Amino acid sequence: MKESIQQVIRTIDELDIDAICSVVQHCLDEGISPEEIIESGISTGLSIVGDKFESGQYFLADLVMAGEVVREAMPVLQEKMNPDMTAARERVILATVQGDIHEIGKNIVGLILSANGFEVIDLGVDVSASKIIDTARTTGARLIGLSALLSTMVGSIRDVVEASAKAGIRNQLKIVIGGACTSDDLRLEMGADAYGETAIDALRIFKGFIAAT
Amino acid sequence: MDAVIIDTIPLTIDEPGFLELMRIRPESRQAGEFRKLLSEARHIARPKAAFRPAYLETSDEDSVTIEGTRFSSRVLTINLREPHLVFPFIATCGAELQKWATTIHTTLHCFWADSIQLMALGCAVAALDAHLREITGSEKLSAMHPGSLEDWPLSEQIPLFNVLGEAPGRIGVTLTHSMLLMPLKSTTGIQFVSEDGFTNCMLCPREDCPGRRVPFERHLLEKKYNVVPGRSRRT
Repeated sequence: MKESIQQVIRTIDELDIDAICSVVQHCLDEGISPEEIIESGISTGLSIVGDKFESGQYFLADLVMAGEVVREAMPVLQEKMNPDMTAARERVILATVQGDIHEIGKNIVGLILSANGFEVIDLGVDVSASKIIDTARTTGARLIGLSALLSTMVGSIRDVVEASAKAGIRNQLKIVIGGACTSDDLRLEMGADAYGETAIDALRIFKGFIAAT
Repeated sequence: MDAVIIDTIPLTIDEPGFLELMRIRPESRQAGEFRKLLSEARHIARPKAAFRPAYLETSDEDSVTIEGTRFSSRVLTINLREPHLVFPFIATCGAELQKWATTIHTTLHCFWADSIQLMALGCAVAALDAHLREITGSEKLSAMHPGSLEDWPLSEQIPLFNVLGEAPGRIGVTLTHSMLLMPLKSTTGIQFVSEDGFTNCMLCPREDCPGRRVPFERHLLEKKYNVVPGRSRRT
């Protein structure tokens, strides 16, 4: 692997937000394509951070900072990117369910998904099932991430599942749940497709769904 | 007894420690942005807490009555077998800080603002604890929080608010129909003196929770409280 790509990986792993733009620019100056920088450098760097997060070596603040490091680099890369590449990104809808307004967890998932090349449609908090399903229909997004922290509002997850069935698009969608009150048991109870405990889980699950189609 | 309001709580944050916690390099551009946010927050923040000393009146197998209000929880009932005087409480980062946080938009800054609000809530809880330790003369205070165990669900915020009377309103905390506390960084519960030293973490199976204070005791729920896990869900 080229030293400059390794430098991208190190810069993300070290969460060095002040250095990332010049490191990425150096790669571009060497003639490395933005696509290669993303695939070999940024994805690998994020993957290392994700592994460290899962092993307890890194914490949530590290994960957020790594996402920000990548976000900082993206304008530099996008300027040189093939427009076809940016158009082909998989869309994922994120929302905090109706009745709940916690958003930090959802935002972190959005940050990590964006940093990994997803196009995130963030509908915000306290979002109705009908709005989520309407958005899926109008944007063609196949992936939905629902966040819920309040145990009193878990029924809103089922509302989304039922609304998608009513709209006739349930089998086209993958609905993933996460948040403090959720679990795999709840996922089964509500009829969702997967449960993710962390932002890294969510990333792995969404990538898995794409790979399977 | 009347509620006691504690509303002169300073926002005390160890800045270098907090920078480290947020993984911000002290010499970076982000450190400057963070310090600016923290300075604004310090100026605005008014963490608050309130409690009401209350007497336990009656109890049966699965519920206790405090100041005429019934609470349904087997774990609470067992935990309150000994103490007669208990302290329903509420603590908050303060509406001022939550309003300030809504003016912040980038994900990173929102994350910092959220953490600052959590620190402010921590200051309010610490002030409340200190106050209660002084009143009870005991270091052995324990607390239970509605919604943190299946056995004592979020819906029990309603009786808790009943017992607290006007106190939540006086410190600017409201309860929504979905049992959400506003400001979000608020907490409620009942404190009591306990020789056993109870914490919810003992009964919570989320092993990886960053807020964990003591290890999960797998068989405690059944052994001490005679509750079968998963059979007590009430919302």
